[in-house]
Amino acid sequence: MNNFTDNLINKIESKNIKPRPKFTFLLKDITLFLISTISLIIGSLAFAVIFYMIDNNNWDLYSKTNGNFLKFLLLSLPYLWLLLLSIFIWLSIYYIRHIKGTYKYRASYFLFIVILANIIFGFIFYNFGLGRTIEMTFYQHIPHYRTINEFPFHIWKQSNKNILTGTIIGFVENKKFILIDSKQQNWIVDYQTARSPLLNTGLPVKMLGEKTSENSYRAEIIKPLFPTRKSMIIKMRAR
Amino acid sequence: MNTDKRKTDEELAISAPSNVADFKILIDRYQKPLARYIFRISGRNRHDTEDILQEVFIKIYKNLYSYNPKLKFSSWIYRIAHNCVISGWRKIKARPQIAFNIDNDIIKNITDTFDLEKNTDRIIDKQQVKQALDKLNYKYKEVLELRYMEQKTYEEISDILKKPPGTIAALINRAKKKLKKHIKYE
Repeated sequence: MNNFTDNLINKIESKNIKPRPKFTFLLKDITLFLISTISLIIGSLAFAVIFYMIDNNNWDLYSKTNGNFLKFLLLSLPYLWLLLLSIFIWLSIYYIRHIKGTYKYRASYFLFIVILANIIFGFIFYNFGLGRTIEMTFYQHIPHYRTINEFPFHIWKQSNKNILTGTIIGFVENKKFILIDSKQQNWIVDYQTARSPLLNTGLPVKMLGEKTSENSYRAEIIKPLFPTRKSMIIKMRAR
Repeated sequence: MNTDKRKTDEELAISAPSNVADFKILIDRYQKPLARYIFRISGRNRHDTEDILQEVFIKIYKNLYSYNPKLKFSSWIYRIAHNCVISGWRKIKARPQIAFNIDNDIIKNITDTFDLEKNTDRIIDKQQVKQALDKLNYKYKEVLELRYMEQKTYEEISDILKKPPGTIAALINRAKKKLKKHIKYE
């Protein structure tokens, strides 16, 4: 044995250096797998919300106006959820690449697999109503979510038509109700001539109509802000 | 404890956590090749190389239970050595260097394999090849070092650098083109 070997062995023994226990490596592998799986699931849920938001965009209200489509589209995109989706796609790929043996495959391969998995599982979650549930929960319980995510009707104005969204907080005489929007402004909404579903207090709605004064609005079309799959199927049949 | 110098590296790696004598055999087998590899890719002096080598073997010893026998043992320890050197460069915030300590056999190997004389219509000497190699980016140097000096296969280089085999092939191919270009225009 040469000096180097002897010195090294002496150092190992004198400093009581020992091999790390096997379970620590197993734990690391399990942790990596779990984190990448959780990232994939969250990414898929983000996709489900995106599906829902795109499917329930204000297309139906937009079609009643003659606004600029590109502008409408750019204002409608769910940027917050797209950002979240991008983050979780990146996280999924990052942790998958740290799992043993995955280095043999190019990163682009995992990008394709992760995006495909997000789309497939996102669509499944969407069909189970998770997209709607998450969107509604965030809308109702996270204060600034509405401001960030709501369609900016104050930017998008086409001729004299406005889209207004908010929650019904009470009814007054002559087919009018009070609506509170995301900026906590109250509106008196006249729905005498509007096409609408059954309305009740607490229902979040989106409307197409005209602003008649500082806090008055005449609705032409009223729709629930968070339609269910049933109401969407009815919508599809009506088409 | 029983030691058997006829055991393969993989067998020794599996028994080494509970038998230091088996680990000694591994040290003896890999001390010189790893020292040479570390010396080349770190650009450090012999004394520093020995310090890094000791650090590498200690790391190997601590991580013996993480070794997967499906992977060639030499690829695994070269990977640890490579990572130790890179970490060392990061700590002192310096760019990685490859010293390229070239001998005539390696020059001939690279010259013949790359068809350098045929492709550049020139007679190539050691200094020209060394200068051309020094101009290459670190990512090309490290694959050329492993391929033509350590005589590793593409599969082994893939395992050492943790890059897909296709990427290794592409890097070597690009390195050849750049080398020819540098020699041609010297």
